[in-house]
Amino acid sequence: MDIKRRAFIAMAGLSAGVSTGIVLSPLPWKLLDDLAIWTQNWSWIPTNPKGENTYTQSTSKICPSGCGVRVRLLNGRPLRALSNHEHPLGGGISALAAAEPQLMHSPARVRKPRLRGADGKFKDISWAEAEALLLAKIREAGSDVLCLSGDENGSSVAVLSSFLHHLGSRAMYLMPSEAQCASLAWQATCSVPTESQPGYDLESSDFVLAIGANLLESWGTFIRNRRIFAQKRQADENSSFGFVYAGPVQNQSAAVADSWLPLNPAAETVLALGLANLLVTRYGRSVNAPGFDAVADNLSAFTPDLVRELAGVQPRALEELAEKLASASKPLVLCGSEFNQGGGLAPSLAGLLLNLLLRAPITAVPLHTAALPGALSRNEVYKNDFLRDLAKAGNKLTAKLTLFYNANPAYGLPGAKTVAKAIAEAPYKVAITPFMDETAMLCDLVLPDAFGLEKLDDIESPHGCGQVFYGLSRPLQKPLGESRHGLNVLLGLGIELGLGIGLPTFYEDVLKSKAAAMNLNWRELHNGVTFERPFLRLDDVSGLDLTRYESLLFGPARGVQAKNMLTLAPLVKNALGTAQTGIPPFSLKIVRDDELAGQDSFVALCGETARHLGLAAGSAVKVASAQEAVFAKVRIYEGIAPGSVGIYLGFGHTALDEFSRGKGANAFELMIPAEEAGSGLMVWNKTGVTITKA
Amino acid sequence: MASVSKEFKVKWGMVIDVDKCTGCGACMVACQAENNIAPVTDASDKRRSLNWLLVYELSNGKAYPEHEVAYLPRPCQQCGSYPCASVCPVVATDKNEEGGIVSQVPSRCIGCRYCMAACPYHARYFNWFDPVWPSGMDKIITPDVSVRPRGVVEKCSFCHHRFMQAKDRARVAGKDVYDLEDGEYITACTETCPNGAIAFGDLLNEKHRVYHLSRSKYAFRLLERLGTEPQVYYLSKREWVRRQGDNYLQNEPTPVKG
Repeated sequence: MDIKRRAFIAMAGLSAGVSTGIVLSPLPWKLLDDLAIWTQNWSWIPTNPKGENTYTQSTSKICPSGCGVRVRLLNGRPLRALSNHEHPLGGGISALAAAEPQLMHSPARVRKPRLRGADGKFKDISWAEAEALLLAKIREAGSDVLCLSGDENGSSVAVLSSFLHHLGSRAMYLMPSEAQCASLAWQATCSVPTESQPGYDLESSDFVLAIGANLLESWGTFIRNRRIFAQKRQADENSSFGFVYAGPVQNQSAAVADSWLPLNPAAETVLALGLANLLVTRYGRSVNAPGFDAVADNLSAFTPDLVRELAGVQPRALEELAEKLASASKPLVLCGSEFNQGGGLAPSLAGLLLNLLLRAPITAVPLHTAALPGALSRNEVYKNDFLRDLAKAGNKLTAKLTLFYNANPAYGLPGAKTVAKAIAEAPYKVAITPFMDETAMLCDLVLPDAFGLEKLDDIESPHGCGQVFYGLSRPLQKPLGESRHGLNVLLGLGIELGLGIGLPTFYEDVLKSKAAAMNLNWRELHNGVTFERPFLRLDDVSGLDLTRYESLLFGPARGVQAKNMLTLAPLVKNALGTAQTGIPPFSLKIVRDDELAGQDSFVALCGETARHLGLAAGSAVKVASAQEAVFAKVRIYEGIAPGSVGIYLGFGHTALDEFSRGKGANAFELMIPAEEAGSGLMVWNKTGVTITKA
Repeated sequence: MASVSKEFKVKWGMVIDVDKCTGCGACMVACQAENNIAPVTDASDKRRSLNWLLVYELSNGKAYPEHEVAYLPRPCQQCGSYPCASVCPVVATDKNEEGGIVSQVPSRCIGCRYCMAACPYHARYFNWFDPVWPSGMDKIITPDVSVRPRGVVEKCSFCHHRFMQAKDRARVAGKDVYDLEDGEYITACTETCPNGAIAFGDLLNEKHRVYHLSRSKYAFRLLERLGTEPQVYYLSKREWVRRQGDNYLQNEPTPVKG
């Protein structure tokens, strides 16, 4: 084609004009912008929902601290759990409670009733079938029914024990906890007009000594503890408030304490008695109660030299600590197992003795039990020790029907594999659970329970709070799948069974009656308002009696031996969930890469121990107790006493979802329960282990 | 490393008291839930997980029993003199809004990751994969923050949506949106911390707590000598903690304010 010069110039001019016009117009930029957005707007990328935001209050049932939450709802559906600064046990929110709305949608949730077939596999069944089957099994078992519950703060204890009572059984158990030890120690020390538990008035204290008790991460009402800690530290930059942590591991509490006093594992009692001895002999402290003279005689054996030998605490450090306690105007001692269980009665009694000597702000917190026929209070249930009775029966569950209510003993009890074997071999076992956990996997029938913010439930005075507390966890969302409130199912079965007068139709009725008995306004409670009542000072407590300390406290204390082997020091992280919940998907990122690497969890050793064993950071090792062996990697952490082996609880699940399953080792498998001298309670806070290269 | 510095009438900032932090991680959970970060199954692998806020464990380096431990939460430092925005070829990250928050616009991001290389705080994360919520868990995605696809960088925004909501509330109330009261706008991590370790507010407003905290003699900023002018301050009475905030020579004294 022949293009003339004039035509070429005209075309070039036109092109330039068009280009300029396009560049100056908003069109290409708008299209480019749309294109950029479109490239990120794939159908599989979730879009943001729209709707109305509302807020309401509740109390977390899944977090052991019972912390308050402010729930953000979108179109009436829970979206976020936020901190509730108005709540008596709130003032922030725990990692576990913050992950609650997400956890309600966990892949590990049981959505339908499940029945184990002859081939060992589960199949979904209808509720009608499940209820008919359970009804038949209950009739068949008669009074030979056992129940283990994982809920110690709610009225479920009363409902379950009343249900068993109607069947003719008293085999009601709770999963072991620090609360159990504290409660039994309290009952062994004093009698009060009503059922009660010890309360700890942290608010008024000016010096806190935590022995073992991980005050700011897992002990008692730890979110409230942290709020109080923050307030005391914030009030004055040069605050005179003192906080000392004594324990085998420089844990979360030790990280912010004024000082950390390293201690051999399971030596809490010895340290407390060493301090008590100094308070009596050097500071002339005493307790006006029967049995104190014998206590004082026994204390004289716990000299600073003995404490150095057994607890690894130097006499100078012990004397300085005793002086701090003696000079504080309102000192408070919190003594317990560093992992909230398995310490037995002795540490709680030793702590109580120290507090009595110091006239510490300890209170009596009255407890209320729902008025149901044959219902047991939680203090009464604490006297039943599941592990002790299991051991007595030759590690066999012989009841014709075993009922697990929100409990996961196959994972979360010491000697987990032995417990799991006992469950697997039990005649017939039923799990009422929101999650397909290790215990549910072993059961014959699994009933999907509503969970968290799907379920109406109550929380009464969790262990550690200083006053009477009563709050409701409120149903804010329809239960997932075909889940139902497990207690309503049982109450319905009670009617079918014709279990007599007194059992209500719905759990809500139980709570309403309880609230009325406590003179509380149900409507206000139902709106999420929580309640606190003034406490009873220890001065008002009648019947203080230390005569049983000889056998209950000094018996086990004298049995403590010098450390000559590697000892397990279990570590707790609230974010890793509970035995029942597993690791919440939204909490998993908190786990550091020197705590979990792929499928390997770590054991923490100090440099001295590692050198002694010929190990270095990252070494693959086999950790073995007399019970079991697990594999792990070595983490060098200088905040742990020589000879102690730090291991996190919460790993090593074999069930639940991909966020929990197959991650690291279950430390419970290593632990060996043994009977505590005096109380007969099972203890598992001093597991000797060996470590070899794997 | 530092680029130009911009000044604002309002400068949102954070003061984190390391001596109060127990490393519980509740702030990280709240951050993840608030900002629609999908959970990953291998989250302890920090090359895979996205952490707008990450809590580091610090050690004084001494052997038992002289050992001390501390925890340091690290959000985006919202630098006054921002190394990241200056290298972004597509203006996907910038600092031009009153308040001094470094923005991140995912739909503009081309995934070149220059900003990640430039950030001295490792506060930026790249989406190597599309976000996946377990079945049903996508129901808890909030309306506030867009879900990011693979191929883009993301980071802490000081919960910018909360800033917008606070401004909206102020407008409705007829108040000055640039004179918010202390506590009217706080981040999710600040709200969550039960220890009160995180304080948030306007660093230039005397009525805000952070104004005073950031001027404490115990306050320090991370890698301060790079000149990035972070809007995140840390507090610690422990000198060894303050020393870890920057690269000091062995015998070089730790600077003390005031």
